[in-house]
Order: sequence, then structure tokens, then C-alpha cells
Amino acid sequence: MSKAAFIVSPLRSPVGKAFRGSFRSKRPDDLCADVMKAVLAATPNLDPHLIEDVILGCAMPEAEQGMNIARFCVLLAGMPDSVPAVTVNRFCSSGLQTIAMAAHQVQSGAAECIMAGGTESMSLIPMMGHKVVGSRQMNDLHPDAYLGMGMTAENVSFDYKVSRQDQDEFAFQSHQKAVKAIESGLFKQEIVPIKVQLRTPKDGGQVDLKETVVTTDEGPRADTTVEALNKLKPAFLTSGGSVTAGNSSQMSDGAAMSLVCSEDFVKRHNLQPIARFAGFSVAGVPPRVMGIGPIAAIPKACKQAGISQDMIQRIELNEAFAAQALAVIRSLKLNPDTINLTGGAIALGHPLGATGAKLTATLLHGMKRDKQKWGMVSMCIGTGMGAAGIFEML
Amino acid sequence: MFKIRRAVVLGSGVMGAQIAALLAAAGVRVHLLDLAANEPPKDPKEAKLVGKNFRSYRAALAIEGLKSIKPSPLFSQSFLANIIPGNFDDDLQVVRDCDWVVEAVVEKLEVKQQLFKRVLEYAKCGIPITTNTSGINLKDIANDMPEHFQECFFGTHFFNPPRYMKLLEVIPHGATNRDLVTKFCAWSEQTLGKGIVDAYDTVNFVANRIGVFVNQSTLQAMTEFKLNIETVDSLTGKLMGRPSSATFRTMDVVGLDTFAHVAKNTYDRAPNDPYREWFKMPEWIDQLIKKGHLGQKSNSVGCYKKDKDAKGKTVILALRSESGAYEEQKPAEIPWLQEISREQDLLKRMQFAINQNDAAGQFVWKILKDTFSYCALLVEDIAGGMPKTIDDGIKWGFNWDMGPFELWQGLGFDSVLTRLQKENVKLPQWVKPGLKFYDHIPGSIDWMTSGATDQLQLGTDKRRKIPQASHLYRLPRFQNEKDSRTVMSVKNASLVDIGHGVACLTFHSKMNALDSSIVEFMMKAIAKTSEGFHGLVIGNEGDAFSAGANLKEVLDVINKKDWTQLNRFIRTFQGAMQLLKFAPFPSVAATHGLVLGGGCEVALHCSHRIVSGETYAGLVEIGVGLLPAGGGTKELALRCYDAMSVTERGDPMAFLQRAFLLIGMARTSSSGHEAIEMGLFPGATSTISLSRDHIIERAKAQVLHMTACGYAPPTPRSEIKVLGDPGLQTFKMMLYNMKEQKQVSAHDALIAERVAKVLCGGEIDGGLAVSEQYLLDLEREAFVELCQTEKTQARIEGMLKTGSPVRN
Repeated sequence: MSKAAFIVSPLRSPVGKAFRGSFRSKRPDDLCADVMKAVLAATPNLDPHLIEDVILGCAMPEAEQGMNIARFCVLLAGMPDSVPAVTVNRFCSSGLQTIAMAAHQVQSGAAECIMAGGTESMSLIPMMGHKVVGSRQMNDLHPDAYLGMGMTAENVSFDYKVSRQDQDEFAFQSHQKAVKAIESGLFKQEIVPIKVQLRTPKDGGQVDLKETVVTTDEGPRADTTVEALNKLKPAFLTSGGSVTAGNSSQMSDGAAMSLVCSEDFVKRHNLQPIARFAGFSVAGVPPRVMGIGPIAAIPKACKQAGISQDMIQRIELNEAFAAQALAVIRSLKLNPDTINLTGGAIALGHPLGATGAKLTATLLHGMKRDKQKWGMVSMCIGTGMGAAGIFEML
Repeated sequence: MFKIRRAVVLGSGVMGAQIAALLAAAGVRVHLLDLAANEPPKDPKEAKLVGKNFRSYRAALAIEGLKSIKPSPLFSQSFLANIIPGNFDDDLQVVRDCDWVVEAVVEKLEVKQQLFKRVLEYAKCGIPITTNTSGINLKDIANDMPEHFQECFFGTHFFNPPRYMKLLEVIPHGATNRDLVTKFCAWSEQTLGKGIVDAYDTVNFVANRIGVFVNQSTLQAMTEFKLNIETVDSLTGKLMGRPSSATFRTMDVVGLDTFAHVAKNTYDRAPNDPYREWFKMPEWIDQLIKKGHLGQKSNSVGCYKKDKDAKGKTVILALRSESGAYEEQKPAEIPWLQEISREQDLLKRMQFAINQNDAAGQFVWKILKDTFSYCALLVEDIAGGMPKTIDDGIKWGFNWDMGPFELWQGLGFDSVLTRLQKENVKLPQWVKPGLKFYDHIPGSIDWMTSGATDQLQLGTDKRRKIPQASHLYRLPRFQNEKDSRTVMSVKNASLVDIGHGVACLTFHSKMNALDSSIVEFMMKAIAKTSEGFHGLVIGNEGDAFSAGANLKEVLDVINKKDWTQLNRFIRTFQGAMQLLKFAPFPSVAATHGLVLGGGCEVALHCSHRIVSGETYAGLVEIGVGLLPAGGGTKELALRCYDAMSVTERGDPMAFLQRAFLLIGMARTSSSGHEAIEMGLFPGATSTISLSRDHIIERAKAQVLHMTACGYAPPTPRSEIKVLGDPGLQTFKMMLYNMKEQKQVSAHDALIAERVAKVLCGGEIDGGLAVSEQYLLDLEREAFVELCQTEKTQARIEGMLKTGSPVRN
């Protein structure tokens, strides 16, 4: 019998819009360090020296995110030199993967307290990274693994017959739910206010230093309508396509972290865990329809957690694209009333490697609010994979 | 020394803003001023755009609007930064620092006068203060104004769109300082590239007076011969040596209200006009204007209407003047039209058309005869009797290939006169048989060799010498044995001695397309230049630098399936390009108009380029299923690797991708500036000349400059560190996505992959060094391979048949 792994202080940054948003020049390590500090502050009883490892997810670990960014974040967060760190990449599930890896160590008894999460600046590091180099073998054997994500969504919409109208309505709902959640202050508990410095040129060679504090997700649009979404041109398959900028996730900047601790550790240090990690699973699917990944991963994760799918009361299903989210919901007959109750990535954004941890924070705070028991985070993953993680509230 | 460094444009309407854009491109810092606003614009987007400086929002929005005007008034978006918005109330003091004030406000005398009085408080003494009025007389504006204003005040009438229309009418009035006008004109020619017409201060000046008359006479003839508007356009466009937008599409583009305004101005203010009644607009045009159907600016509803058919396809419907309804175009069948349209010689086309006895032929003759009559009757009044003034005005302001007097004389002065007299056409006293407007006869070989040397001042018997502009070379447009400057020549190209030890290689094939005879000639010309000249200019004074390789010739070889000959053909072309590049003398291309495909490759292999502002350059071979194989792909690749060689750990991929897209998307520049900005022409060795007329002169000066600076040819490259196969695979990855996204066809992808292969230096390991020849061989192999594919053959055939690319 493995030990229980508990989630403590899951927090996240607000999610900024890439390129034009508040975090456009905020480094992903600085951003993540701010969230780490907040997690430590929210857990005053924890002596940081006791953190045995930091596992950080990042989908494009190069440039500002390169050089084992995890260790940089630890140092920037002012944690002791003794705290080690590792960067992990499984694209869009990286932030959930790290929580699972931490949990597995705790469950096996290899560690008692690990910090895990993810960070990503899509403003600073482009999708696929700065230097993309094709492989002769891959081009010959598996060119579909190089297919752009938008086109995989087109393939899903075609294979699973998800109409443009359905996608646009789904996208509209995502914005509506997110706007309502923000207006009702539902994210207050999970969001760490982030200080941002903007350094712009001022006359005379001077720097105009503006400091602001960002407290809210920047993506949701209260003014969008289904009609407005209908008008957008297909972004990938320009003739005959259905996937648009409006029914796809937004490019974003963000970070999210949690502590994963053993039951003993929690008791010994008088920490307040929020949930128990109940299971995690990944599965592969054909790269050309990567969006259906959760269809393969979710049943596996349920089995691992020892629950049936209908016991899950709340799901954060990453909305990489409305097309794939709908295909997943329909194929697995997921209950739409349990999914993305406060909006999804189409409205709130999708900071790749941070998303898994960000959704975990949103899920757990939401379940706490609504007094629910079983919850799940799931997402599709580029090159054809899916991941799902299951949590039980305490 | 007369220079304009800073200017004020008063009024930010269509003309004001576009004049500002033109000046900005010429390196002039422009203040664009308009009425001050007391509150921000109502539109929230506009309010956000202008921000705090809402007082000047009219000018600010006009500057922003320049980005969306088609065709673009901007040679490059970067010039927007040279235009500073302002308003008459807060910013008039900027006039203090300016070298020119040009006014383009509403056409109201009092408004203009009042504004000029305010300007005078600040203007430096002696700077030109001019008006862009098209209809108000200068003397009326100058009247009652202070003497020092009168001296430096004159008209500068730009034609819309000012970037593209060469004409600038300069209109002094009685008290204008002529010396100032002369200096200003020289500056405008050299810096802005304008063609100056000295106009008299008469109603509508020169070009509009005649041009709008021709329009009105067309409307008369249309009624007389009962032709519909699309038939009129089929006859009054290219056939008559005029823009293909002909009569009604031109009216739509310019705006019916503008035409009506100019016509009304003539009617109201020229009571003695010999054809005054014709300047009344027909009822149906008045109706259109009342309805606000003014043409392009009113949602493309005017004489034509842009609409969608049942399938959602865009269709252009034509107005039926009788009913006011728009219907599908049904141009009348004119049996001779298609045949004669193929004739290159305008005079032959016209001669043929006016001798047809059907309605169409009679219609063409009627317009012509009215035009001749009107020009003859007015030339003394509006142009001091100088036929060239009217001819230049119409050619530069209305884009005719030949002016009215040139046409008359070219068609045979006496025979035309006989016909005019027989038909009792109104003519002035001075018209009598045997008159020669010009020496030489327009269209004759002498005319083409040395142009008009003198003109008859009509109404007098004085012949006036036509000064030969030193910057115009009258380069041969055909193999001209009579041209004493010719060093050697073949049918399609000549090598001309243009003086000071500089030779000029000039093409004179159709559209200056390159064929094997030109390529062979080019090699001989290079040898000849090495022997006896400092350097070589490549250019011409035709319509295009070169539209590319002669496809017909390529197709003939393909049809014979003679791949050995095709290989040889490419090798020869590449050889000529390399000879040019490594010649012991500097070579300078003077580019203008189309610089496509093989033509572009010639320009790329020269040591320097003088690039006319109106240069439309591109390596567009993909449109015909090919890749640039005359060293064009190689040159772009070289430039990418060279850019990288100055960095450490730089990635040439970023540059190669740009080159790849340039070729793969067949991008053509919309200006000379863009040819540089998009990475086609090397910026460091390309110089812009807004004036097209000066490019040969400036190319020659560049050759001499480079010679004087001790020109040394480049060294052939053997150590180009290429990306190799890893780069190629990256492009393949991109192409896979483009194919999936249906952005490109399978054949496009194949061609693009071959382009990538050349750019990356072939399928070798990354980072290895290859020579220029290695890249050239890759180009050649790919070219020959593509020529063997059916789809490329279909593209070439399609282009030759229809003139537009086949998508397959």
C-alpha cells in the first residue's frame, strides 16, 4: 500500500495575454519565483529547507526558459541552496505531470515534501522554440508529428464531426463562464498578485519605469458573441476549415505551483492540505488527431484512482481547441455540467507548460468552494498524447 | 543652393495627405496641418488612435489613412514617421523652419487667401508658397496680397494619385519670381521625379482642361453612336494608347463628382470656350452624383457596380444610362478590335480604327477629331502655343501614350487636316496644310532616336528649340542602325556608349524579356566593356526593366524534350550572370517597372542598383512552375549566409526562411523601397531614385564613382558554410504543414522544396562548405527536373496563353 500524497497551497499567477498582455516582458523564471514565494508564504509553518526537490514543467525549455529553469526559479524565490530542482517537459501536460511525479515520489516514500508546478512565457519563447530543425527520418516516417496544432484540431473536427457552430458556441460559453467567475471573485483564492515592471524609453535616454500589480486573468471577453465568433476566418485551414482564433485557446503567459507532501509530513508540520492526489495517467494517440488524447487517458486515470467516471463531480478539461474538447466530451459522454465551470483556456488562456498546475489550482479551489469530492484535470498533448490527473478533496 | 528639407502641407484631404506622403519619401520632413478640432473624434477607435493630441486629429487620421489607400501612396511605411500632424491654430509657427508651403485646402478663394495671410506671418522670405488648386486662378488668390507673397506664390498642381502621376503643372502668375519657379521645377524633377508642365493661369490649367474635354466629347459621341459604357471603355483604353481603365472606369476611380466639378468649372468660368455646351454633364451622370454613386469611393458604385452573383462571386455590372439599372456587361461586338489590339504601334492601330466605317470606328474618329479641334483652338490661350505643353500634360496627367498633337502629326498632319476640313470641324486660323508641330515626325525613326528637337509655336511661325534634358538618353527601343552611339547590337539588345567611358546594355525586346540571343549578347557586351569602358549600366527607358525570361523559348525546348539543350541554356544564363558579377568593371542596374524573374536576376548580379521608386521586382518563377535558376536563388542564399558570417552562433534559418518565402510566394515589391525592405535587393548596394527619368544618369554616375574609388570585383566564393540537409528537412516540415493547410498545391510544394534545397546547399551534412558553382548546379538540376513535369509545362503554357498564373 502506497502512502498518501497531499496537495498543499496550490496557487497560480493570473494568466496574461501573450505579446500584448501584462507579462509580455516578464521572464518566466521571475514569474514562477513570485508564485513560489507566494506558496511558501501561504504555508508559513513550512521550513523551506525541508523541500526535497522542485519539479517544474515547461513546454519550450530554451532561451529564457532554458538552462534548467527550475533551479533558477528556486534561487530567485530565495529558497535555500539545498533545495534542488528539475525541469520536466511533456508539452501541455507538463504542469500536471510534475505534480504527478512529485506525488509518486511521496507515495513511494522516496520524499516527503516536493514543490511542483509549471511556468511558461509564450510571449518570449515561440511555439516550437526559437530554433526548429526538421528530421529527415521523421519527415519520412512520421511527418504528422510535425503537424501544427491547429490542423490537428481541424482533423478532429472532421473525424468527430464537430461543427463550426458548436465550436463557436462552446467558445462563447467559455468566455461567459470566465467573465462571470472573475466578476464574482471566484479566482481570488487561487491567484497570486504579480508585480510587473515595464521599462519603456523616456526622453533624454532615461527609462520610464512603471510598476503595476496584475491580479486578474486577461483573456476573457465579456463583449464577445456567437455571431462575432461566427465571423472569424478559419486560422489554419483557410478554405473550408472551422477552427478559428476565437474557438482556439489563447496564447498566454503564466505560472502555477503547489506543494505535494506526505500525510506524516503534513501532520508533523501542521500544514493544511486541500486534496489527495488520487491518480494520473498518460496515453498516446495518432499525432494527426492529438486533441483526442484525453479519450485514451481519462479511463486509464479513473481506473488507477479506483473510481468510475461518473463519480467525478468537477473537471478542468483544457480547451486547447473547442473542436477537441467537444470531441472528448462527446466520446466519453462526460457530463457537460461538470466541465470548466469557471471557463476554460479559450477564454482564460493556455500557458502551455504551466497549464496542468494552473488547472489543478483552479480545480481544487473550485471544489473546496462547492464542497465537492472527486475532481479531474485533463488535457491533450502535442504529437499525440493525453493526460489526466484525479484528486480527492479532503 | 535651393533645397527643400522641411515643408508644410496645408490641408490633409486626399491630395494634401498624399502630397505629404510623396515629399516624405523624398526625405523631406513634412508638417501636415488641417483645421484644429475642439474635441476628440467621435469614433472611439479614432479617438484612441489620436490620443491626447486630438486638436490635430484631422491630420493625424489622414496620415493613418495613408496606410489603407490603394494603390498605396507610400513607397514604404517607414516614411510615415516623416509626416508630423498639426493644426492651423496651434502649429502654424512651424512654417518658420520650412522651405516650402503647399496649400491643398478646400477650393474656396476666401479660405485660401485667409490661410495664406496667416502663413505669411511666419514664412521665411523667398520660399515657394504654392497652391494645389485645380480650378481657382492664381491671380485671383494673389490679388490684394502683399507684394512679397505675390513674388514667391505660384501654382503646383499635382495629379491624383500624386505618387503615380508624373505630371506637376506649375503655374506662375504675373508677379511670380521666375527664378524661384525654375529652381523649384528642377528640384521637383530631380527629387520627386515629376514631369513639369509650364501652364498658363487659365481655367483648369492645361491637362484637366483638355482631359475633361476629351471625356465630355466621349460622352457626346457615346450618345451619337448609341454605345454602352463597356463598349466605350473597350475602345477608349489600350486601343487608343490610353490607360486600360479607359473612360468610365477612370471616372469611377477619380470620382464622378471630381470630373463634374472640373467640367462645371470650365462651363462657369470659360464663357468663351468653343465647346462650352459640352461641359454640361449629361442627366444620367447628374443623377448618379445626386444618388451619391460617385464610383470607387462610394462602395464601388458609379458607372460600374461591384456586386456578387448568385454564387457569391464578385462581378462588375455596368450602368445602363437610359434606365439607371446595373446589368451584366455586354460590350458590342467589334469584329476588328481584337485583331488590331495586337498591333504594338499605336499610330498603326489608330490609323486602322479611324478608317473603319462601322459605329465603333466612327466613334473613335469623332473623339479624335474633337480632341484635335479643341487642342488646336486652345493651345495659344492655355499653353502659349506650345504643342508640347499640351502633349506632356495629357501624357503625364492622363497616361496617354502619345499626346494629341503627336497623334495628329503621327497620323499624317495633312491627311487628318483634309478630313477635319471636309467635316467642317472648328479650327483656328493658323491651321494650314504642311504644318509641322514637331521636328522630327512623331513615331518616325528620327523621333525615336533623338526625340522632338523643336516645335512650332502655334499661332506664330516661330520654331522653338526643345531643350534636350541631359539626363535622358533616348536609349534605343529597337535595333537602330542610325544611332551613332551604338557599339554593337542585335535585334533585342544594344550596347550603347553613353559617354564618359560608360557603356549601357539596353534590352529592347517585348517587355524587355530575356532570350538566348540577349544572353549571348550580354556576354559579348561584357567582353566589349572590359576592353573599352570604365563600366556598364544595364537599363532602358521603356516600360519595364525586364519582365523576365522569354517563356516561349523555354517551352519550345521543353516541347522538343531536348534536356541537353535546356541544361546548356541554363548554364549559359548562369555563366553570363557570373561573368557580370565578377567582371573587372563595376556594373549598375537601373531598375524601374517590372523587374521579374530573369530580369531580377540580372539586377541582382550587378555590383550596384539604382532603383526607381516605381520598381516592381520579384523572383516570381514559381508562378510558371520553376525556380530562379539564373543565380537568383544562389544570390539570396549567399546573402543569408553572409549576414550570418558576422555573428557568432547565429542561425541562418531566419534569413533563409525570408528568402524562401520571397521565392515561394512569388512576392513582388510594390515599390523600389520595398524591394530592399523585403530582402530582395541588397540595401547596402542599392540606391533609390524617386525619379525614373534620372536612373540611367544616376547609374552612370555610380559607375564613374565606383571606378574613381578604385573598383575591385568580388572574389568567387568557395567556402559557403551551408545548412545542408538539416535545413532542408526543416523546410520540408514547413511545407508538409502548408500542404495540409491547403495553402500550397503538391506541385507548389515540390518547387518550393527544390528552392529550399538550393538555399540550404543540397542534401549534405550541416555546416559543410560549398562553392557558388555548387549552388548554381543545384539550381540548374532543379530547373531541368521541373521542366520535365507536366504541371510545370501546363503553367508555362497557361501563362503564355492567358498572361496569368495557372494554379495546379
